[in-house]
Amino acid sequence: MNSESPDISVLSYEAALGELDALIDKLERGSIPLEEAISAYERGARLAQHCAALLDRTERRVTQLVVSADGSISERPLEAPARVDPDDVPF
Amino acid sequence: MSAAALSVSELTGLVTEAVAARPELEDVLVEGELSNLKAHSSGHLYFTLKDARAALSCVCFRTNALRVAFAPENGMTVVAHGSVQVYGQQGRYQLYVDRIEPSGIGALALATEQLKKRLAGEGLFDEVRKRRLPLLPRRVVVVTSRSGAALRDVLTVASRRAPCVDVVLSPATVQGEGAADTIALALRRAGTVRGAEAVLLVRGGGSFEDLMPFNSETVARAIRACRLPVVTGIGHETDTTVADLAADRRAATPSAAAETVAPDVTQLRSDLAARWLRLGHAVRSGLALKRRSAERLAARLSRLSPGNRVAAMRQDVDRRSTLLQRALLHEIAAKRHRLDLAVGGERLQRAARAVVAARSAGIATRRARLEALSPHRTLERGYSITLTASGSAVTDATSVSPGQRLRTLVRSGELESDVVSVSPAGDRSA
Repeated sequence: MNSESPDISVLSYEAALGELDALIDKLERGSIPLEEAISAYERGARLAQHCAALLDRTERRVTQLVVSADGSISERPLEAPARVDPDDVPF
Repeated sequence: MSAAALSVSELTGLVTEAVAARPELEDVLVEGELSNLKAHSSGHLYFTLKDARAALSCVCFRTNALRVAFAPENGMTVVAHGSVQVYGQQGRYQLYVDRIEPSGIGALALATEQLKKRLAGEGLFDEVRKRRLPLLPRRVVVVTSRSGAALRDVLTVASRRAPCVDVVLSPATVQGEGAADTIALALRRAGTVRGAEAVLLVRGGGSFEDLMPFNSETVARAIRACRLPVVTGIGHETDTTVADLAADRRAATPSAAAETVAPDVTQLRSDLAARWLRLGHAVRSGLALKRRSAERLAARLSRLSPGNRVAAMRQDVDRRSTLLQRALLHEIAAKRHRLDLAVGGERLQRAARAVVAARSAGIATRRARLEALSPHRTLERGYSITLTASGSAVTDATSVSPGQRLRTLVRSGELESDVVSVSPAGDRSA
């Protein structure tokens, strides 16, 4: 809705959180026009949702870089994902 | 006598033979202090080894000199290996050195210390070069061996603490001949991984020799050249490699390295929830503040207005308020609809509260504007307003007493006066 602000979906967790903090500060200092306060709240809510979605991602991918004969690099799933032996866990 | 004289060459030949006849001189180890060190442009090293009573000329030819791991310096105590031979042209015997090592400390250890000093002098380890790590990277590249325990440790920590972080392996050989080059290459490739925000360079513990690739200049420079911040977790607690010094962050072990880029998601969740509450609170209290200050202004307005104007003004305010409420409600209903679409139905309550607060604030703002205008217009027409020291309007003469100080607002400016006498309403015509 705000054409100057970057698309939220591409923001890193840190960038989104940073912008959310800035919006909260702005609102807490008060003295912004009603229209702006409502936009700030709206964007803040969407930033918070984006952060939550990043935290909630469950489809973690484990891959490895593979160099093919022509020198190009691609990612493949890490075959036989490292088996964790409880005796080896270092903590 | 002259018949018995040998030529210089003949004598030198005898000495050469005498020396050659002692096989132990072909394979000697000798310890002494380095002095007169000259590195010739040909690549050969010339120096003298000495102790308190003797000096020994030494030469180390280029092919052997290239294999010397550390940088020899005058004053160092070294152990040299080689063979003693006579150098006839200059009439002296020399040690032809094929190996040279510092005494006391291993050559590799010394070479590592020297490299650390050199790179530090160049500023490669400076604090200002260190890059910050992301709070929660979406993807992390791990540079290590495909089969090592280090990779397994990283994966274990990542899945326990931050299951939302992708892990990409950029495989390298982490030990032995050529390892440094494969690590440098793997670091370069790590920089090309789409969406990656940090690199872990990890390896399990090993002997000092095992860790040598991480003490190479190649790896140190590849770390600084990497597009992404690099965290090292190499060997055990006690080993500080050159790579550790060059890295943006040094962790003691591979697991500890993984923890620096895989934050505890539970903690992040509760931090986020706290911000969510603050956001809601900030928007509501901001609007409440606007409402309160507007109410204060409105209260002052009613105190200041001359009695015969108040009723008309109230009516005016009410009429405008009604219009305004209608307009605002309409506007806010539209916003609420938009807001609901954006953030979902559960936010409805918050939006509703915002509507209430916004409505009050909107009305109050207009009231404040009225306050600014109405008394002013009255004054323009020649009326004045008299106020007591506490700011309340004087409408009844008997409410003041002689000697009291009053303030009077006129069209341009205000007057301050003391009451001389008071006449109740009935006396005015007299």
